[in-house]
Amino acid sequence: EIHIKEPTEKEVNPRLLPGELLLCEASTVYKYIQEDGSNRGTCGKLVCTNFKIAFLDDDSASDDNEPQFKNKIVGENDITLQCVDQIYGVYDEKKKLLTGQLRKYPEKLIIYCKDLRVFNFCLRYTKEEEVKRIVSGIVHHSQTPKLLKRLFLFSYASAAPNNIDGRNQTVMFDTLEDWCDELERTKGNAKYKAVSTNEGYRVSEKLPLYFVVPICVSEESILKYEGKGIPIWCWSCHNGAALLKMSAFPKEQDDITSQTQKAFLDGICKTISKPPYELLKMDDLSSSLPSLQDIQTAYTRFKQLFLIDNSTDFWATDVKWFSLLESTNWLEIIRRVLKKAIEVVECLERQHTNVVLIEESATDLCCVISSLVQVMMDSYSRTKSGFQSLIQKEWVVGGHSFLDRCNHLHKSDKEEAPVFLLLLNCVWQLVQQYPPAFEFTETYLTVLSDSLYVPIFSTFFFNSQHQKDTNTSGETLKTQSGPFRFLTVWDWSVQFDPKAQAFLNNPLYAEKPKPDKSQRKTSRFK
Amino acid sequence: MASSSTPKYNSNSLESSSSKRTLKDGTNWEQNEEIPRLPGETRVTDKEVIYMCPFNGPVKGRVYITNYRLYLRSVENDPVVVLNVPLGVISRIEKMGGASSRGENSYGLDITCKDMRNLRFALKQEGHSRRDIFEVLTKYAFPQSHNLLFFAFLNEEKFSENGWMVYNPMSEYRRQGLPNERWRVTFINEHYGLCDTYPSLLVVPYNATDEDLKKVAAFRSRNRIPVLSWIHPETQAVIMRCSQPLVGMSGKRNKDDERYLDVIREANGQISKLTIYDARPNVNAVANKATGGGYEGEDAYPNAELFFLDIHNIHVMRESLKKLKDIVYPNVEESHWLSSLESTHWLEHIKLVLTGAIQVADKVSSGRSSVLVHCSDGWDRTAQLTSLAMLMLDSYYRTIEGFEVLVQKEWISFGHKFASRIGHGDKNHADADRSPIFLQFIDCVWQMSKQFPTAFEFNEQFLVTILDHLYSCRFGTFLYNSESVREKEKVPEKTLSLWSLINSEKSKYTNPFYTKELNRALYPVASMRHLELWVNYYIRWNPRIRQQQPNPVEQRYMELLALRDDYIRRLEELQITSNSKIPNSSASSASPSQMMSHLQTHF
Repeated sequence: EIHIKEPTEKEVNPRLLPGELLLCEASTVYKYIQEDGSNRGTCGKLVCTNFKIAFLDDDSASDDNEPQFKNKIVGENDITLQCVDQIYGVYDEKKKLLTGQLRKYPEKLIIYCKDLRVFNFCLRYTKEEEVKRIVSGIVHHSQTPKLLKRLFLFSYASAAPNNIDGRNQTVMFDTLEDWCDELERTKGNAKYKAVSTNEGYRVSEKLPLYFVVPICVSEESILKYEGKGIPIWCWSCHNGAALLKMSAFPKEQDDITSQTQKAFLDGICKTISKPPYELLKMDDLSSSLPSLQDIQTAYTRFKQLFLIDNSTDFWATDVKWFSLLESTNWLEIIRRVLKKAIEVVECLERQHTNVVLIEESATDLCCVISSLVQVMMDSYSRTKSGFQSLIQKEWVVGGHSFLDRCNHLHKSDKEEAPVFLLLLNCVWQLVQQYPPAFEFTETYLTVLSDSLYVPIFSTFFFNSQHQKDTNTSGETLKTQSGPFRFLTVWDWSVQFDPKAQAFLNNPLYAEKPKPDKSQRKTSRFK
Repeated sequence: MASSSTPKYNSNSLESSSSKRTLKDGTNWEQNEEIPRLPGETRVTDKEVIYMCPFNGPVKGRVYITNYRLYLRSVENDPVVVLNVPLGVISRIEKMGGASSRGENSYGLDITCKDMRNLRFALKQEGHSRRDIFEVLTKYAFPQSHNLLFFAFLNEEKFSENGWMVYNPMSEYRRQGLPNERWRVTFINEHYGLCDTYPSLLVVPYNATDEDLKKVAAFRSRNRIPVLSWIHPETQAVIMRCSQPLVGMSGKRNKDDERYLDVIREANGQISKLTIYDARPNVNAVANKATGGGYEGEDAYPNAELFFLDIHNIHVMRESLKKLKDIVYPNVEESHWLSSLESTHWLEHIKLVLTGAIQVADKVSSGRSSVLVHCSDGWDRTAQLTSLAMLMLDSYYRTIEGFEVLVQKEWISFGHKFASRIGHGDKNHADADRSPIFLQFIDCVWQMSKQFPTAFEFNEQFLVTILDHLYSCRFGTFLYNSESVREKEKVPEKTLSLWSLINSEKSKYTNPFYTKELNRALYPVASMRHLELWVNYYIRWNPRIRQQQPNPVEQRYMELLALRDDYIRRLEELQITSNSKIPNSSASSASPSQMMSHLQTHF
């Protein structure tokens, strides 16, 4: 049984961020120390705010062994509302999933987090009224559909002092200049141009304001099909071959429409597969890679292996670990994605062929493959600022639907898929295989993936730049201290003090002076 | 194309330096100095063959056979393909195809090796072209079956260090603080009269007389009585090793044995029960009663509690490794890699051995209780458990020399039957006594080094080298089954020790990340989630799987250490010049030394 310590009288209050409001709380809650499977726990207060669920240890004042690596925004016993995956109630030793209205209140609450933490709270010694309020509060605020404007992101941005200038070495790709610089850096400017056709989102709400297309593509043709069927430039290889992406035309019932679309596309392809352009290879990722549905299914199975309640379950599954892991199919998906990236690299590098990645919206697997190819071929993408710029370019500005893929608003489970996590996981595999080649560490990848669920940064909380822009220009969003501005996740000082930030940097990183040259050399020997 | 990349085939990484030169011109072929040769190594024959490389297809070359090795050099490939295989690793030589068999390269020899690979050579189908080479190979690969000496007895190499001096049992026991008022050294086995598979020097409870020991010996399988392996410097709890008691079907008892175990318990001033770890699965221990063995029953030993550790026998381990070879050689099973790996059970056995050793170590250290470890004969699983527990508890054994002492003590001197388990120079490849028990132990050590990358002074190369020479027969270290036989064959006088090779070139085997830490117990996590297949050993012949060598992380770390030393030197130089200019600069000169103490590593 639980070792009850008399609750101390002193009041423990949660530390609140600007714009954070305490919604409900319950005292005499026990948090189990789950590792040993025993019933030991610590007594404290469970609170729910508009930002997080937090457990406040009654003895927290006395914790003097501060960990070396600590997040300033999300503490060890904090769960942001977006980080909650599933909540279970335990009634008479039986686990039940909690989603909406509750008729009975549980004795125990199990919270599974998206960052794979598991919390066990015992409510048996809590006043009934408080149990009711905290459980329904937590379930309501973390599990039910939400409006975008109700995200903590907005309360924080309006309340927080706005003197932080998020500028660092990360290229944000929100200006024409950023794209021109990138073209120049990769020497792609002879054949490709940055265009501002989409200013005012005239072409498409999914595309960024500025992007890059082959020089021969006219503005009219970009406007013609809302940016579909146009190869959009991602990156140029040292030999001139380029990586492009293209959103496919929707399947038309109408024969005439699809005929004209086909003719349009053929025209563009013909132009850019002749000199000065290299040969062109089209790769339809929707047929050569697993579907988002497959990816989501595999990850759901995979994550189940890590959401373990106690050590008994841990050891019970241990003997069959390898086959369990295999049966989730998650590693197989990673393998297929990496293989595809290698295939594209070989096309660009050895066959001097342009590669166009095709996908319905060109914002999911296209982002994964194009990012991976650049990480593998461009040593700049293996630096911290280079990798961050890459994420800005391909994902944030590139229009990956973070809001829907992470299901931050609980709008539709069907849209949910861990596409960005898939990229981080593939990059981790590369970090494992080439440890000195990366400026950042495994820890960096971990905190980056954790940041997907911290709604104080705008980076991962919009589906597109258009959505972000339209939601910040409203008149209601004026702060007292000047223009309304979101934080970017790339300002690591928001989450970590300088000492902790050191853990993000790989001490063994060996910078290569001339990466392109060395790569050419190795390939010749292959 | 990946398949056209031709890496160097260097079967024996130790000798990579001697086989680096490549030949462009076939006319130099007969020059002897092109083939690496050890002092004492003599050439026997050579022949034109086609090496059927499983990774890159047939390779035309010439094979040279000496009394120590098989050496192949390609004639047409660039870079040159080289095979350099000590004959000791050969387990089996088979003829493939007949004089009349058709098909290209279907006539020749198929050689099965003990180190996870096979070699196939195709020969011309004319005359009796393969008879000679088959006979020569058979003769020199299996010297024991042909009344020939092991190459170790012919080896005339010279080393700056003498590896036979590494282990001195008396000084090792002294290092442990023995003898003391509770434990004594006995010479009862000086001429191996008490037990012919034990070393001559043994440590036993002070309160047990030599007469008592003789009586106990009668009740223990092969007279392998409980003796001390290690004593905890603080708790004074001990790790004892022995063989199974001869209980038999009738449930025999022996008062002397029962009293002796009590004496062991009391030597630690211990009130709680003595813990006995029987390494076997419960059913196997029971089954052993049929052949006169068994385990300590509760009635006979009321002051002891017995746990079974569920580690399987040598036959199970042999079959498991065979299955592992099937999925990694020559092709790695790709499509269902993880479940295939699981079905070999190899890592599961590793897990059980580690789990057992953790229990032993934890009992002695945290439980402050003496333990007795045995299996059936006490020379396979027992050696694994005691040596791994000692490695977990005593940081000395994690140094290069300490590990050599550990192997020398717990394995070689206490009669792990290397000759039978490996089958040195013996043609009987199907011998049921063969089993990869020592390999399994080294794998466990490797798993620990992966989980504690700074705790071991030695690197992966050290472990691979030990395994290479477990088979090579170039050194006397692992020859024969027991100390008594080794003494009779005059092994230390007539052969060289493997530790001579290693200790003469220690830097090659040193882990740059090692940080000396005294008396920290290491408990690895024995979960399948944390165990890995040792790819750099088991799949090292496959050029597409083999990891980058040398280890890029180690290499980069060394570069940075060199850079640090360089900066410190330059800083000091600058200080000397600035100090001579400004006499009062104590504040600035204090900082670099503070920084240094922070960065200090033992390298």
